[in-house]
Amino acid sequence: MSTHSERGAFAVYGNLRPGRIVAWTILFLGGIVMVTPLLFMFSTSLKSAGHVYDLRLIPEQPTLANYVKVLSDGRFARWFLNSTLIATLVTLSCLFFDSLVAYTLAKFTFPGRRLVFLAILSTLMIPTEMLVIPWYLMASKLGWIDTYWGIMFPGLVTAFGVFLMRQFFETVPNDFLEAARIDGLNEFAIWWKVALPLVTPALSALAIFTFLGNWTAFFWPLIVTTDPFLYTLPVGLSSFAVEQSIQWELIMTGAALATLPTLAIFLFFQRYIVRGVMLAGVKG
Amino acid sequence: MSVTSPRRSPGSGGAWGRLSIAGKQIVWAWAFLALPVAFFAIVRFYPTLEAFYLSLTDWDLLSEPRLVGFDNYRKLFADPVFWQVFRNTFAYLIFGTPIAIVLSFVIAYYLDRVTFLHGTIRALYFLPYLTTAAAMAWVWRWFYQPPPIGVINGLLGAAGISAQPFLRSVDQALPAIMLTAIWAHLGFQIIIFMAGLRAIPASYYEAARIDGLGEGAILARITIPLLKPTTVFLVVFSSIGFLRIFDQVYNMTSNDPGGPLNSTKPLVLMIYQTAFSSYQMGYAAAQTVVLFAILFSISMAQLWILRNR
Amino acid sequence: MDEGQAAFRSGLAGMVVDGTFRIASYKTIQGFKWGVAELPTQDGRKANFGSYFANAIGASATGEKLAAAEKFLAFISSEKAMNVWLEKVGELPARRAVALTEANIKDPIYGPFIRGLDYASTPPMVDEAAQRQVSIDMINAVLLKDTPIKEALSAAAAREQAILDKFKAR
Repeated sequence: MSTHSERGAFAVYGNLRPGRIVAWTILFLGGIVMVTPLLFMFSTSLKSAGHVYDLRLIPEQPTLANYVKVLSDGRFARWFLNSTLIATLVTLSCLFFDSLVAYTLAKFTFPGRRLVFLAILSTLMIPTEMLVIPWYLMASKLGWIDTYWGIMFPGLVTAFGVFLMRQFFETVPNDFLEAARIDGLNEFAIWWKVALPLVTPALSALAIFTFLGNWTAFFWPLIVTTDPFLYTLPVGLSSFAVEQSIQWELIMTGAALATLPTLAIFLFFQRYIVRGVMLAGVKG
Repeated sequence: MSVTSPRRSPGSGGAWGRLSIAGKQIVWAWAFLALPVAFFAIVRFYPTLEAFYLSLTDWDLLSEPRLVGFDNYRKLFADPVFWQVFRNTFAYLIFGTPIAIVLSFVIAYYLDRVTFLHGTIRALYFLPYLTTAAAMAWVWRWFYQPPPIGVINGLLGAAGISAQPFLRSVDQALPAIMLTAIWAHLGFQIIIFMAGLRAIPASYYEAARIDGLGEGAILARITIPLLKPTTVFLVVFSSIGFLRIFDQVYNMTSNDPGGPLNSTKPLVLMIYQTAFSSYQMGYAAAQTVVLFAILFSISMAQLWILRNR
Repeated sequence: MDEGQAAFRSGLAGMVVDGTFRIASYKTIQGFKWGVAELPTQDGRKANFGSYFANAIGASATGEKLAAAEKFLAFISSEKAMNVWLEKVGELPARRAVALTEANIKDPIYGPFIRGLDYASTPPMVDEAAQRQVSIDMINAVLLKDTPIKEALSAAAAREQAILDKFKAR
């Protein structure tokens, strides 16, 4: 597997050819175009209602009034809390159960192992859209509508996570596990103390994907919540935007508030996130 | 992989002690698997069966479900709106996936060679992927507004091009929304392609250059063939994503869902409306079964066509 | 949703057909003065559309929750609450005594709406989303597909009737 510096060294060969500069420039401009919607979103959120229709990127008279207005009724804070709590809990559940199942499938011999693995894998073919109606009926019957549990329960264990972790557990040398057995650790302790620490890159990749997926989830939370108090951030933002109808400066402020957290996390953890995505893609 | 020869641990009593090592393995394995397997059964398998069953009923949640056999399907296939929705869903797939794959590959290919500000440029392309689809749908919706509000029409106006209706046109609305979806996922595809590119040993390139192959030939004969697993993964993954598109359409057409005149409505939106606006659970379930069939056959077809020969 | 109202708000549209629920939003307009007039008549025939929402207590509520719900319902249907709603949102109160005050009838904004109530009718809403869609599609057919108006109207009427018939059949 080539490292970037190897290729970089290779790229030095004819580094400053005009073609390279053109390519770099196009790429750079393309990147700017990619984030233009985000730039305008932030820019508009800082404009007052009258100035929304002036399409300059840098606001003439920037103001935080929109943010004050949007945050003052407390709904966004509540939605933010809901999303964070739910995403965190589901991520923890997935990290625990997905890796436990994956470890079992990778390292234990027992009748039915192949069947269980194929069965779990086959669930990847079932789209959530087909399941939301039965889930809704189940939630309705059991009183899970408008509860955190109702939003969380479908995502607590994921086939994707099992699949990903299993790839990594297969590379864990059995000698380590045997040594731990000889030392008298029980199987759970072996998994927790010996195997898990050896797959932390995969765990962080899984954590990133799961958190991101749950934080930005829209379809199921939309269906299972009717009480605005329970909305997750995407659903809340959507209802807020429809409510504001033509006050785009407020809608953009809402969108900005919904985006700021993930942007902040990205800026701090960019390297891990990108590595995590690459890891998942290569193994997947 | 694990120890299979049964041995008895000397001196231990009780039922547990009498189990062989292999036997203990089995107990531990099922102990670990019990809860998750039950979970999958309850949350994935049983609802699938229930969805199939519901598709054969007529049920509005108020009275008891009535078994009506394949009536829902007959009704669906006779409904012109369904066929419009079917066409829309495939339009998202047929145009969206190739554009996304080609674009992300080209960007990844060149980005991989960039050293100066590599991290920054990569961040610029990846950032949109981390945003919430619902939030970005609203930003793009604002972008597509007619003058004087919309940014895109503002730019067109400055360039002397007449204002475009975008989301208010039966022809432009679907491409407009598709663009938003492509934009949102480009970063993920670029990163995956870059991972695939980096997995190609530099020695292959060196050997090719020594043999006198030009860049174009290297691309065609080494890079692209070796990227096949990555490409297949992304093609299938994107296709599924486009066939299931919902968040963008819901938020960008909230005043006229799937409009105008059903020109942007994908199957998932139709399902959502049938189930949670009109409360026709049986009819909606039938639509979900059709969605499943479409996803399944497209994925299988793609894996078959793109298989290793 | 937005283009018509946005155009009006930014002073680009001369008129907009809208409801009382929009009054609060339009009151934030600063660039120009605006007023309200009743809908035009045709051959002396007046017609208007009135809709309302109702607050209800679930049939399965009992005990403490039922008592609390009754209290709440009494509150939001009280004169005081209705006046607050009128002031903050703009929608007319349901109680005649509250709506048809001298001040309201003479008010340049509420007056025309109140006069329109006299000849407004409320159609049955069995599936609001679907019925609304019928109207939207009808207008879009005329604007975007150049469908002749009479044809679009009869098609819409047939569609809406189908929705109503289906509901009655249950």
